[in-house]
Amino acid sequence: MTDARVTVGVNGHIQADIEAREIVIDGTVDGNLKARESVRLGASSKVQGSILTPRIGIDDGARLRGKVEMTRGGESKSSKSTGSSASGTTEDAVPAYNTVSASIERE
Amino acid sequence: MNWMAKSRPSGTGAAAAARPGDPAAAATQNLKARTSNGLKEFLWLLSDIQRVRVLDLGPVWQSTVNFFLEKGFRISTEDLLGTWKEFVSAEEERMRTAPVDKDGFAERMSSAALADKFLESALQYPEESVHGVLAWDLLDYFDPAAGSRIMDRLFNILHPGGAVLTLFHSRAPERFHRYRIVDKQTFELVDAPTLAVHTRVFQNREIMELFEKFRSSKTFVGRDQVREALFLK
Repeated sequence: MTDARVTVGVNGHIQADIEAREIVIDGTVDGNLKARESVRLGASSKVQGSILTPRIGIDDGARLRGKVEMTRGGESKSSKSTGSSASGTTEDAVPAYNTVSASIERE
Repeated sequence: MNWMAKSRPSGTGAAAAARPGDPAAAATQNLKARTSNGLKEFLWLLSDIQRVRVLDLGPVWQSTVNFFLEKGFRISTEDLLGTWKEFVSAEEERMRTAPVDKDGFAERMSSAALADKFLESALQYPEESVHGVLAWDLLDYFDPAAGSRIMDRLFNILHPGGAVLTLFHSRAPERFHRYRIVDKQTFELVDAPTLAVHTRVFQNREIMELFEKFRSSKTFVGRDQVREALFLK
């Protein structure tokens, strides 16, 4: 699993699975999310797919069509999101996803 | 699963849930919080099942997801009413812009056909893969043709012994709400922009007909006259 932090910005649209250390979604994703540390769904996020993560934060307004499952490895089983959205950044390498219309930026 | 045979934990009931200082007490002080015997019974029915999978047919909420994950449940969410509204809007737009046929007739689709098409992409879960469904009050917002088809699909994806928790309003609600779980006996009514017009007030007989395939049911009527109904497959 990559050490990347992947953020899909508000206007981002991904049609692929995402696997990363930390995943932040503010846009649209049609695919599964698998995070080693955490997943956060922003208020404008729209996800269709499964989420596998040790921690999840969900802002009010997020839309999810799929299942959520917890994995071991996080310090806590779940976390309350702060409501503040992270900016659209990606740390380290971005895995080679089959990106159709992505809004992924590098720091 | 058998309501009569299954032993019950002590200390159940609203009084037990509303101890000072615990989340339930705080929640029940919130005017939008609702103590729910239906939810309590729903969770009790699922308590003996290994690797429970719950399907929430409302929007995804942090509190609801946390609640189930902390119990070790797997949870899926699908905002059925929101998805339905988007689907209907898209279909109406498609039909509006579609060319008329040689006889001058534009395409029209019956409510039943619309529901069938909707279910080609909605509620796509393997048969008997879900142990509990939180349907909230969404059946009040679907027309009969769509509602019965949705119930058929829910019946198919429910594991034998699985349960559906639904709410039925006894009169048209003043506001449109979405629902999220606060604790094991409380859910919260969240004011939301009106997504759909309240379609109908179900008579008890109509509810039983809608759930006729299910083998047993329980109904709880709240002070607000909202009927909580729990149906077992």
